Amino acid sequence: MKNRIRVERAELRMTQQQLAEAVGVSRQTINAIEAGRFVPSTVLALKIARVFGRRVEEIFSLEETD
Amino acid sequence: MKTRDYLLPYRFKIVGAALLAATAVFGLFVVNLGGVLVSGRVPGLVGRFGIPGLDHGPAYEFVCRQTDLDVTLLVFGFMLGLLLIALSREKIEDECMAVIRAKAFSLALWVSGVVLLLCTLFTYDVVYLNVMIGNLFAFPAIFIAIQRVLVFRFKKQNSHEE
Repeated sequence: MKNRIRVERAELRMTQQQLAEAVGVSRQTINAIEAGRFVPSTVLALKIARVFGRRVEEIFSLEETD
Repeated sequence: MKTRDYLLPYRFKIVGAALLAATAVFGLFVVNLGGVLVSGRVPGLVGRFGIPGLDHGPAYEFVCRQTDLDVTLLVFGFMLGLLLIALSREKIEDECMAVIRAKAFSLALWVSGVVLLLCTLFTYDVVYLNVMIGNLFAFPAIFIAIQRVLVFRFKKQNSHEE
């Protein structure tokens, strides 16, 4: 599953730490999600999308291999 | 949305580590000084095997008796310390930590299970009894070791903000 978290963060000039605090996880977890090493739960994906003011499918999308 | 995870707050991890350290120090005293350091009159279940004149009746009975408490305290302190460390939350507990905990649990079960199977096949008599005693502590100890390695690797891998 790919995501646009890094792009959305850059647009809002938001650090990983700020996003992590906003959704209640560690900065390392945000890093792992951004890099595609960890797939978040539905709840966490919805929280991240809410921070960026987007729908969840605008932030996360399936890849060919999924 | 909250789901119950049956974990203790993070501070219990520190309490567990302190208890483990204190038990280790007590264990060193017991080994080095020898003899009985702590004894007392305590209630408990005891076997009646090998006692002359007690051929009839139940094989076990609940009695109150004077006994050596060194081993009792060592086992209790060591096991409680391990449980507190293993079953406490991380400083920042999130779903990544939950996934790591689940991975560590299944890996620890594999390791301790395979070791026990091998020991059952290849050890006998007193050696097997020692294996069984060691096995009491094996699972939580292996679980903690694997979990710490996985958490360390996760933090190292994701330490740099890109």
